[in-house]
Amino acid sequence: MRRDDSISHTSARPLLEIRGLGLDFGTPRGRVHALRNVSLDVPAAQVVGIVGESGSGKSTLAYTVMGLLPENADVTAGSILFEGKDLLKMPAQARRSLLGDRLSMIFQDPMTALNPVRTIESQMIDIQHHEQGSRSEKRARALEMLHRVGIPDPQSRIGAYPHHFSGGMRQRVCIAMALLVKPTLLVADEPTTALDATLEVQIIRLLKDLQKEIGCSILFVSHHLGAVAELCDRVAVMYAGEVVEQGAVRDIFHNPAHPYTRALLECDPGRIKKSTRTLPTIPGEVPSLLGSKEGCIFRTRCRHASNRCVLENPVEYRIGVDQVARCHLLDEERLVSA
Amino acid sequence: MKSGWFRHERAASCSGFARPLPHQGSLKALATGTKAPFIDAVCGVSFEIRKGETLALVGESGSGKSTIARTIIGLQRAVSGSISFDGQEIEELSGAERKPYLRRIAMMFQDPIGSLSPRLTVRSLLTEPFRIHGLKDRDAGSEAERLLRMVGLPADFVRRYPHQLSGGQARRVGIARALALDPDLIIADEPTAGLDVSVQGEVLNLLARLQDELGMAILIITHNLNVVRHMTDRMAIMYLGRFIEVGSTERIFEHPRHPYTEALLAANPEPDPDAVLNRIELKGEVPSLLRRPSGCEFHTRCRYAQDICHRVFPEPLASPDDTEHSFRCHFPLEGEAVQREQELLFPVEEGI
Ligand SMILES: Nc1ncnc2c1ncn2[C@@H]1O[C@H](COP(=O)(O)OP(=O)(O)OP(=O)(O)O)[C@@H](O)[C@H]1O
Ligand SMILES: Nc1ncnc2c1ncn2[C@@H]1O[C@H](COP(=O)(O)OP(=O)(O)OP(=O)(O)O)[C@@H](O)[C@H]1O
Ligand code: SF4
Ligand code: SF4
Ligand SMILES: [Mg+2]
Ligand SMILES: [Mg+2]
Repeated sequence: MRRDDSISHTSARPLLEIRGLGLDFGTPRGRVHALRNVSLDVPAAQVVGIVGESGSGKSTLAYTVMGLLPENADVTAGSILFEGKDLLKMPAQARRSLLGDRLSMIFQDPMTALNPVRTIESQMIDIQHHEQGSRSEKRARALEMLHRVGIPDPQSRIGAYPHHFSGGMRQRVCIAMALLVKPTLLVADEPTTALDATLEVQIIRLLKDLQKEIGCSILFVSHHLGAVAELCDRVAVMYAGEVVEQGAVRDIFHNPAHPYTRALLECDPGRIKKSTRTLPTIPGEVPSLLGSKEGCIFRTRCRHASNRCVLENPVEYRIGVDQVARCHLLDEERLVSA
Repeated sequence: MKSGWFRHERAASCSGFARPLPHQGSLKALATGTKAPFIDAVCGVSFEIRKGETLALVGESGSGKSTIARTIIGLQRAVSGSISFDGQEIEELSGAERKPYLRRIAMMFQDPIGSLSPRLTVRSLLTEPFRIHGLKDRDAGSEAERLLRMVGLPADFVRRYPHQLSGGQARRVGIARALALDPDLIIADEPTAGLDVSVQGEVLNLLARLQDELGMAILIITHNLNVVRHMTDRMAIMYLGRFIEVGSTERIFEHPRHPYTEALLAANPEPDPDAVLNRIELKGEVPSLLRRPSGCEFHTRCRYAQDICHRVFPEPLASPDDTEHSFRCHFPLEGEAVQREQELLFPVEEGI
């Protein structure tokens, strides 16, 4: 059933193709346009990072792929093709059966995934309901995975409840659970923020190994640019509900084209070698997501904004082979889509 | 300039407190009348925070950092040891007597959404501290908006519920709430986890500015080594519930003396896909608190371990030229070390 046929990177279609996705949240104050015209590919067996502003819609995008949106969410446009089939058109039943099987997710907040009143053991056995094997085999697999994510002494901890674990240990339990199902696509929303640096490195290595072992793709949301640089093949940069730039990880880090991407990278304290008490920030306020949007979404904070940026929403421009960005400054380059 | 670095008034000091947590099997053990096995989540930890100072607590996930924070604000009781705040011993006080002290200590919790009650709007969340402490004279609406402005959120957020916030927005609401009562000590458990680097910069600059203006002390618990390097005066590194190295942040980043600190600092990924990584692989796994290794507790994973490390628990040592920089290792990195005055940073008695 799994996509284990050999896939050449250029010709095969991506595992996940998001096209022109729009999503609103209904609120008493009006509609929050949380995703606008988002297009993104996750090629088979690749790790795609999503970075960007806090509140820009990264988790919303992840939830939309998983089909786990809250009630006030409303997909207004676009499609999400997973292995060629549109997830948004799939019957609810078929969609649900993908979860915890072909699709699995690590949540930003581990308590979203864990049931506080059940033991880790029973939750880890239940998550394997798509797999063959007896209860004791499943328990053994759970122990092995807890061991791989660095939970000390899993034998004596597996019977515990989530609140018996520290924040980082809970996150590791969630990582172990998401990996147990051997997904085709793993969506990981900030999986390493709660972990110390040595564990973060260990989890990154584990994700890489696993990705090789089972050939899955990973959508990796993170604010830790160092972790993204180390793990990801490609990166998409989000700002206020839009993907403003995407491309290969080297191009994005070495040759960022969009002013927001540049500003974001410049703010990373990991790049600043000399110790400072005042850290760089991007001045100005994040635009409200209410109401209709004209012009470039970044214009209120952009150093290069011109009149055109106020009037016209920039289309995607291609830079080099494999990098696209939405900014009028790139107008000289070839136009990709309108 | 780092304010308060030379001042020596203590805002809070915690000495030698051990905080064993009942092992999760304890419920059953208690029911049958046997003695509960205990996990020494924190043991023999001793430190002080001076007014206007920022101290970082870093270390392994699960090493007891949040437990220390919860004990300082009275959510857990220390089993032994003392916590004094502005000269007053807190552990001796009754619940009601503690209140005026606890009001001056604000906590920003690690789990931003989980620590905000889901049924309260942002406005109620922000003004709850006023109600709890009986400050009814303040105008709730304008206070809530003032606090939101301080953390860079739009005023219309007062009507939102926690689940309608992004992870980063929830974090900022948590910070605004902590600032509500103008605390003297802020304990920030992972204050910027989940924030983008620009907002992280804003939050840290905000804390630094408030600290310069109001002179409060800050205890930052974080895994983000970049934050530690730029924002803190001193740092303490924990392993298995103990401090294994304490000293000035600048110095420790330049010359870590304990092998665990060395490995931890080397693990920080560079924001460059082509970076050449000089990682120090930590072999083996994190030991269980239920079965602490003998001798130096890091010996199971230390690449410098020798015979004595398996047998003898290392006494605290200090750098000869900086007695505030201390560490527990038989073979500290980079040269000389001297026996240190024990009562200063590490307790004489061990709570093992
Ligand atoms: N249920 C909801 N109702 C209304 N607005 C919502 C809801 N959930 C999210 N939002 C809003 O949608 C926007 C996107 O939120 P999302 O959680 O996707 O951001 P994010 O990029 O994951 O941010 P972070 O990095 O802080 O986690 C935010 O402005 C948020 O306030
Ligand atoms: N209620 C509890 N019952 C049993 N053990 C607990 C309980 N709370 C915490 N622990 C254990 O105490 C230890 C310290 O936990 P603590 O939350 O202080 O760690 P931490 O250093 O904050 O970790 P992190 O960086 O992952 O947040 C952990 O091993 C944890 O499993
Ligand atoms: S389109 Fe204009 S405002 Fe937008 S990023 Fe480019 S230069 Fe800046
Ligand atoms: S005492 Fe020995 S085992 Fe412990 S950190 Fe030092 S060298 Fe390593
Ligand atoms: Mg998010
Ligand atoms: Mg913690």
